[in-house]
Amino acid sequence: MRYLPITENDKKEMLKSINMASMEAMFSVIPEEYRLKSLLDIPLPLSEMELMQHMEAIASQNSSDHNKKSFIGEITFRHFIPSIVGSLSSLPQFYTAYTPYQPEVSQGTLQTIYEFQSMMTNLTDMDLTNASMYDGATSAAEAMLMICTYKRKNKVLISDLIHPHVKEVLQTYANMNNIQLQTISSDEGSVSIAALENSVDKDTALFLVQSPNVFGVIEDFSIMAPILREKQIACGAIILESLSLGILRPPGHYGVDVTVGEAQSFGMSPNLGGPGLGFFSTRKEYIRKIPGRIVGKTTDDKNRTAYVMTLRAREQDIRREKATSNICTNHALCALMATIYLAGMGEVGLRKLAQWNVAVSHYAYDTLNDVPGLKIPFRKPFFNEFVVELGQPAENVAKKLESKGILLSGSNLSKSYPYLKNPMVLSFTELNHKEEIDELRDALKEALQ
Amino acid sequence: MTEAMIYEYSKKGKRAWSMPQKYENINENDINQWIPKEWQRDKIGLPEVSEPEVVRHFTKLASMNYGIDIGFYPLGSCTMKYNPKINEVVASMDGLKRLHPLQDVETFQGALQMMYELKQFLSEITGMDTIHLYPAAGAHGELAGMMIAKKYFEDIGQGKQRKVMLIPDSAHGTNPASAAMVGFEIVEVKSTPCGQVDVDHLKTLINEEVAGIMLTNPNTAGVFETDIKEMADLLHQNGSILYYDGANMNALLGQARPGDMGFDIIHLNLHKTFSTPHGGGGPGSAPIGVKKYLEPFLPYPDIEKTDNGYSWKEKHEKSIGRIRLAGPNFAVLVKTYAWILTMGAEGLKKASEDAVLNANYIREHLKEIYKDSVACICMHECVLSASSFEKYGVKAKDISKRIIDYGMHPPTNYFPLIIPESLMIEPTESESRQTLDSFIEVMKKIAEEAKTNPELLLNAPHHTPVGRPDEVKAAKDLDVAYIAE
Repeated sequence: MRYLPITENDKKEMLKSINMASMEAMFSVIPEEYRLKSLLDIPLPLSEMELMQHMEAIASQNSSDHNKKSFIGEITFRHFIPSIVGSLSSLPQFYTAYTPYQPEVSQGTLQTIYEFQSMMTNLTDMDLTNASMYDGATSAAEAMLMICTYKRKNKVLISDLIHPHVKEVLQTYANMNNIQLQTISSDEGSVSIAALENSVDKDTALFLVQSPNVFGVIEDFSIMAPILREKQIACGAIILESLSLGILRPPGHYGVDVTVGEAQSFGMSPNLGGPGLGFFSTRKEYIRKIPGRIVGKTTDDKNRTAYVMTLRAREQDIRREKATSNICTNHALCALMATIYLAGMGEVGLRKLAQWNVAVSHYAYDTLNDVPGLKIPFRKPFFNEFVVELGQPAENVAKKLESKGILLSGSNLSKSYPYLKNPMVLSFTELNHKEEIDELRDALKEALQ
Repeated sequence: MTEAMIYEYSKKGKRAWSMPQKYENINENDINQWIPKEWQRDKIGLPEVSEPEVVRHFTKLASMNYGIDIGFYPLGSCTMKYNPKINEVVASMDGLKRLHPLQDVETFQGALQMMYELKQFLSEITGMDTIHLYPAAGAHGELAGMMIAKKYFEDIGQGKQRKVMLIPDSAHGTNPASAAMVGFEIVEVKSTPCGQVDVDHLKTLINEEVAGIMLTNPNTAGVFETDIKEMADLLHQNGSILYYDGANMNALLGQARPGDMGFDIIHLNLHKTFSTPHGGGGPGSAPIGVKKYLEPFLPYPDIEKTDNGYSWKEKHEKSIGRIRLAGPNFAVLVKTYAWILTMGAEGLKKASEDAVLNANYIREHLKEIYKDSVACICMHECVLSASSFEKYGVKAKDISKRIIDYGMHPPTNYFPLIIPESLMIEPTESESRQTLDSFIEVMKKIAEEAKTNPELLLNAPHHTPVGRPDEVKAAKDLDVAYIAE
C-alpha cells in the first residue's frame, strides 16, 4: 500500500521492541465480542490509474456549466476563477496544515486569515469579521443566536424573501433554542415596510433580511435601518451573492449590527454546494459574543509583527458548555481562496466585475422581457439575477431546456411563494455571453409556446 | 523574516485582473440607470496589487507555514495523516467541481451515485444503519446529532424529562458546547487514573433525566473504553442514548465498529480519519450515522436510490430540518471516496494497525522520560506528560516549542484537561520507522537539554519567522482588521 511506509519487517521489529507478542495482542484491549472477525465489505483496492478512470467515468455522467449553458444561481454562484487562486491555495504548506495552534509555524495561515478579516470588514463596512463559518446559512443562524443571547430576547423577525434554504436552516436552529421566528411579508418583491413597522415590538431581538433577496431584488436599508434603530432592534443583513458588494453600498453603511452570508463567489467552484465560505461580520460591541475564531495582530519577543488567534476565552475548547458557539473547524482554506481572489481583483477589478454582472443581467432582462408566456413580475433594481413567472410549471420548462443543453434552476420556489405563477430565478454572471442569452430566449420562446 | 501585509503593496493603477475590453469600459451612466447612484458605494477598501506581487506574497506566506507534506505532525486528536495528491486531482474534475446544487437530479447521477456508495461504505465501516453526509465539521455533526437526540425524546414524549447530557471530563470541548447549544444541561463524568470513564461514578449519575452520554472511543487519552458494553447497557436500560464522537475513529478502522458497541448516533471526521486535508482549519466534513429507529430524525435533504436512478428523498415529517445552505462539503466527500477505494478493506485495516503500532512504539520508548500517567496500552495516540520537568522551570509548552527547532510539529498540549502538562502524540499510519526513531531521539535530546540548558527551551523556537507572539497584547490592543483609507 503506497500510503503506508511501515514494512512487514518494521512491524516485527517494532512489536518486539515494545514487548508486544503480535498485532492481535495490541488490539486485545478491545473486548473480543467487538473485534471484527472478517474484513470489511468494501470493494477491492484500485490502483491510481484505475481510480482515475473510475472517477472520470463518474464525472462524465454529470452535466454542469462545463458542458452545458447554465443560468442557475440563488445560493451558489458561477464565476470565473483566476488561475492564481487554485495555484496558490494548493501550495501544500497551506492546505496540509492544521488549525494554527502553534503560531510560530503558522504565520502563513494566521496572516492570511487576518487579511481575509480585513478585506471582508472593508467590503461589508463593519468593524470586524471572524475567521470564517461553514456557509451563509449557518452563519446567519449563528448571528441569530448571538443577537438573541446579547439582547436576552427570543423573538426574531425574518424577511419572507430570505432564500427558503436559509429560512429552513434558521428554523432548525430556532427550534432548539426556543426562538420564535416571525415572517415579515413582502410587497412587490421587497420587504413590506408596513408589515415591518407593525411587527416590531419590545420583545423583538432582531430583524434578518437578505439583499439582494431571493427574487434578486436589492433591499433598501436606508428605510429599514432607522425603523429598527428607533425601537432598539438589531438589524442583520444576509448576503448570498457577495459579488454584489463590489458595487452596492454595503449594509454596514446603514449601521446594521451584523452582516453575514456566503462568499463562495470569491474564487470557489460551485462544488455541488460545498465547500463554500460562510462569513460573519459585526460591530465592536458584540466582539466578546461572536462565534468561532478570530486572528489578531501583535508582536513577538523581538518586537516583530506576528499574528495569533485571539479572544480564545469565548471558544469551546476553553469555555466548553459556556462557549459562545460550538464551532471549531471552519472553512479556512476557502477563506484563503477568497483572500487570494480579492487581492487579485482589488479595488477596481471587483467593481468592474460587478458592473459587468449588472450589464449582462440587464441585457438578459431586456432580451427576455418580450418572450410570450414569460412575465417579469417585479420592476425593482436587481444585481445579477431576477425572478420570472412562466406560463408552464417551472420544472417542465427546465426539462425542455435541458434537452437543448441549457440548465435552469430546479429549486421549487412556487411552494414558498404560491402567489407567483410558476416562478423561476434566472441568474446571469460574467460567464454568460450575450449569444448564450439569445439562445436562452429562443429556447424559452419555443418551450413556452 | 516577516512578510508585509497585502495592503502595503497597494498602489493605485496596479492590477492582477483582466476582462474583455467592452466590459472594462462599461458606461457608468448605464449602470446608474439600472442601480440608483445613491445605492452604489464609493470605495470598496481592497488593495490594488499586480499579479506577480500576489503570487510572491502568498508563496512567502506559505513558506512561513508547516504542513504534513513537510514533515512529522504528531498533533494528538487531529490525525494529521498524508493527504493523497490524486484525491485533490479527482475533486477538481470539471464534471464534479462545477456541479450546481440546484441542478435537476438527472443531470448529476454520477455524483449522486458516488455519494450513495460513500454512504454505504461509511455504514459498513461504522456499523451504523444509515449515514447522512451533510454536516460540515465535527462540531456541526455533533450539533446535528444532539438535535436528533432532542427531537427523538420530544417525539416519545420525554422532551421535558430528558434534559441532561453526560460528558466525560476528558471530552473534546465541542461535546459540551454542542450539547449546550440544543439546550441540554451538562453533567461531567469523572475519569479513572487510566483516563477511562469511571463507571462507578457514571452509575451515580444515571437517572430518568439523562438523555444520553457523549463518548470518544478510544478516548482523548488514547485509551479504549473497555467497559463500553457495561456503559451501553446501563444507559440503554435507562432509556438513554449513546453518542459517538468519531475524532479517534482512526484506531478502529477495520478492527471494531461503534455501531456494534451500542452507539446510537455517531459522527466521523473525514478530515481526520479519512485523509482529507485540514486546510489550515477546514473545510472538514463530518457525516453522521444513526441506528434505524433514529432515521426519521435525520437532517433534510438526503439521497435515495429508486428504479429511475438516484434522487432527493422526500422530507420526513420528523426530520430535524435543513442544516446547510446548499449541500454537503461535496469536494471533501469526493476525496474520501477516492481514499476508501484506494485503501480497500485490507488497506483500512493496516492503516489502523500501523497507527496503533506507531503510537505504542513512541510511548514505549519515551514513557520513562516523559511520565506516562495513563498506564494502559494506548491506541492510535499516547498522552505523555512533561510534569517531571517542572523542577527545571520547563513546561509542556516549552518542550513543544523546542521540537519546532528540530524541524517537526509539536504534539497537542494541555489536552486532555485531566492530564497535567500533557503532550498528546498521534503519529498516524503515514510515518515511517525512521521518522518515529528521529522523533524519539529528538524528544530524548530535549529532555537532556531541559536539565542542562533549560533556557534553550524557554526561548524556543529559535529559527521560525517569528518567536512566541505576545498573546496578552493581542487581546488587549485588539487589532483584527486593517481598515483601508
